[in-house]
Amino acid sequence: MTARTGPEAPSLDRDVDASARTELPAAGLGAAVGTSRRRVLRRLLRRPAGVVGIVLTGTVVAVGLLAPVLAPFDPFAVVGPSLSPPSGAHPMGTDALGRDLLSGVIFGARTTLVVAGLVGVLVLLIGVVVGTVSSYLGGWADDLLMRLTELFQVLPRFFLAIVVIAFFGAGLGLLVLVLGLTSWALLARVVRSEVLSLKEREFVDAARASGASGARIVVQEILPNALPAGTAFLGLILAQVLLIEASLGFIGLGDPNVVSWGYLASQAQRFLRVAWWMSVFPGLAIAVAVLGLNLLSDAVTDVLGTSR
Amino acid sequence: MTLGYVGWRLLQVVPTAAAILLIGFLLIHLAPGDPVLALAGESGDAEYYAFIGDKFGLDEPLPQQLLTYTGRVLQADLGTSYLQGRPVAEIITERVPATLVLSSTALVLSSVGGVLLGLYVAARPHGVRDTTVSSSVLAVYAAPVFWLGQLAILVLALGTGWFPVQGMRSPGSDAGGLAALYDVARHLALPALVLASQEVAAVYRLTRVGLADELASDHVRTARAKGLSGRRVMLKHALRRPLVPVVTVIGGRAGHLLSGAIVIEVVFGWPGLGRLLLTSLQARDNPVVLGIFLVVAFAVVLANLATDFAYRWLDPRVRYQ
Amino acid sequence: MSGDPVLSIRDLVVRFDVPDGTVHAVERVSYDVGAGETVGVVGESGCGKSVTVMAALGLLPCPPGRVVGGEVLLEGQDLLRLSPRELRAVRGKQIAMVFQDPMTSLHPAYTVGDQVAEAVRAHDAGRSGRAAWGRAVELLELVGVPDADARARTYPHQWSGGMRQRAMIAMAISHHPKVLIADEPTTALDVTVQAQVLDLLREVQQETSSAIVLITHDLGVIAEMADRVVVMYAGRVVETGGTTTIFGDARHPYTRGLLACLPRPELEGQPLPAIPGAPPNLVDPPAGCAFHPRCSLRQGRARCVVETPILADVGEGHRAACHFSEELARTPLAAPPETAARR
Repeated sequence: MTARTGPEAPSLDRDVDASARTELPAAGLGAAVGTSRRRVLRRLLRRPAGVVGIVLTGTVVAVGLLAPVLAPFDPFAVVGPSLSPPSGAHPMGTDALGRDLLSGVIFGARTTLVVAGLVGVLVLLIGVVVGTVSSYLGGWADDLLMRLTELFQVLPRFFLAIVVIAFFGAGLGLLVLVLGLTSWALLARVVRSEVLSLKEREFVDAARASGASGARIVVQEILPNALPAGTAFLGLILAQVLLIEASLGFIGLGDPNVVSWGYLASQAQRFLRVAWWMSVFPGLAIAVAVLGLNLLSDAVTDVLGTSR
Repeated sequence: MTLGYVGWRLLQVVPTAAAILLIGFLLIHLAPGDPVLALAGESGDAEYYAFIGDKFGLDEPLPQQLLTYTGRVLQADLGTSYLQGRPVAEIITERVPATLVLSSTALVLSSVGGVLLGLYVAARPHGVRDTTVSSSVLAVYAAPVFWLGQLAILVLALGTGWFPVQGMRSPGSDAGGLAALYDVARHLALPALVLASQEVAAVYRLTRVGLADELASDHVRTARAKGLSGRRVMLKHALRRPLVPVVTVIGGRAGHLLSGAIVIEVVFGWPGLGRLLLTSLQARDNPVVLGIFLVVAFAVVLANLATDFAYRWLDPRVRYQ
Repeated sequence: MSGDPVLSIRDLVVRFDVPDGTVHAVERVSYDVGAGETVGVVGESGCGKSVTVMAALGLLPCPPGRVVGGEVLLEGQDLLRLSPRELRAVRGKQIAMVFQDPMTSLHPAYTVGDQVAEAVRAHDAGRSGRAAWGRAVELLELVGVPDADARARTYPHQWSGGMRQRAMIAMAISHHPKVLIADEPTTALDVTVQAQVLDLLREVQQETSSAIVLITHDLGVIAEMADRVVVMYAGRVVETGGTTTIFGDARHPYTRGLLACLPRPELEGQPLPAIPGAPPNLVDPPAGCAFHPRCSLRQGRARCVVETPILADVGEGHRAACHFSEELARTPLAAPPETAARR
């Protein structure tokens, strides 16, 4: 066995893919784990990466959920002097219009949560369906779907999102749709190789011998076991999606009706000389969310890998 | 690497390229409103719209239009910028060198830096050194590139005054020769470093994992048993194979790198495709936006192709099969 | 063995730190190798026979491995006290190694000639690249690689296993080492090729007058090659003596067990006997004699569980670590050794 237990580099399609190719086909990560989720959690909590990942991700999720309770002000309301540095009244300072930055960052977490959640659902749906169907049908259907997957891996998503938004107009729904429809390739590959390895395992044979239909075997026996490995990679995908979303917000393509961290950072650009806080806090928030997801994914992959 | 393989691989690019073209075509036609407006922007006059409609054959049936469109793009005709009234291809070509300088500098810096960090840690894995380097790399990797850029400006440009904050040349400077080169290099330093620092992660992790595998391998043990120096064992024997995927991910990173370059250009006012994209977005100059997408997408496909060939060439076992 | 040994391993102790605890991989192992002689080290995999020599040459991966004590004397000089640089000057020059798996022991991305030439230049920096290449081709010819000049320019994957092992031997003898350590040199090879490689080792030994430490789990190979035998079990030497003595008058039940497992012509067609049980877990080795759980001689005696037997003289140049080795002196081996016949 090689020492490659996890993705060499999180969230870069090509690298993660390389590890998926070398490691996953023989892995069958799922089966070892499906038996005991609690054990996975316990092992996760024994790793620094796992603990930090859970704390960071959990913080973002909690802040996003509780935004209206936590935020001292309406993020769009002018509530203080413009460009005032962090103070007791405005812990993260105010922007050029006198809006409270802390409230902006808190509500930004909510936007992040919505984007990550919805894109996650789309990616999971498409990735799992493509990966499962591809591996189960095999033959030309598999070839075709894998070619399609490769296409989506090569496609520069950031630029595609830019043109789509340029042509259709900015909006959260469109953003989620574009990122969701283009980000599933890695997951499809992971699920495909997981299913391929699980297909060979005994409990599937047993199900088949008892006369269960193909589709039923996939849904009831294989998928639940292939999913843990899939979700580890989903975290990496979402981390990347968050960075793309932030960059889009930064170049002014975010939804103008909601506060996003990328948008906040873009507001800082013109005032860098006078208002460092406008850049530091929103950027930090993005880094925290992305780092949390990356660490969590790394740790989960690691745990699944070693409990094999 | 046989000619047959090269041909086969080139053939594989065709559907990908076709798909990219199709996306461009569909965007023009699916976008709300008149495709003429989508192509020409909203503030042209009637005569200009008629010209565009005629040029792109917008009255013909769709399949015919797709053919016309494909033909045009293949001839590097990406339409006309309504903002500047010039061919999009021309405008983009002017901006490519600046982006290329920025991203290739970052590519080299990140590749060399990542490999060096990997070597540095592999010499003593699982220690303080490992933890420090690995977590810093991971943290930088998680930070959005524009934020790193802003921080660099705050600390290194505004804080110390060592580096210029914006642009590619000092305003009013008309120096030539070496002085000009030095001026550009000073402007290039921060954006390139920031872009590279983000890209380091992939190379570093690949190198580190690869080196760990290699240092435990039989052939490295042979090299040590021969009595070679530690440096030679590391650089010639252990590093050789991990370098292959390091080279190979360059192609896979092209999309990521160019995305980062675009954003960094906005932060540092670097006059490349990113600045062009931003101004075009703000002016709703859609032909230019679409043109940039097509150019970047094709560049990424080509970069993937090139690294595929590089991979084959670098691995003698594959090369001679 | 006559005169001073060229290589003398004294009370070597090696441990590995693993998540489950500490592996006692090598416990106070001692043996000598005389100039020009061939010593066979035999034992099941994991008994510490390879780890001993790796540790001696500083080739153990550490962590997790660590040398806790002992001496490795090369003509009186303790290798364990050398600086990394000094030890490097010994490796490949005075002590050279041939490894088990020729498929993985050569670097796949460099030509075989390049790798042999590198071994030549490693201790002869003054030699030009061209001269080293010439010497490499010479060495390859010497070890019987046909068409060596052309083949040197090809990559390992274009070579067969036997040919690669020849290349490994060519590298190892490039500086006429005083000791050539061959770690399972034929295990990964086809049976027909095995004999050729063993023949080659004997030939190069005559050429270079090196001593050979031949590490193997195959007593057949020992019978064919070795002057003396060191039998290891669970990180310890359990018996040592001349080859004929060991094959004719083994005094440790483990050695007897190994000998009983040798294929014999008269037993053809019957399944090979095997020593019952498995080698112990060296994180938590059995108390007393490590072999007691598998021993046929123990017969429930408490001393085996309580007291670790020491390696004691049982005859001329013959030592065994068993409390009841004298009992074996009265029970001759079932079949005479085939040493003579094989040779």
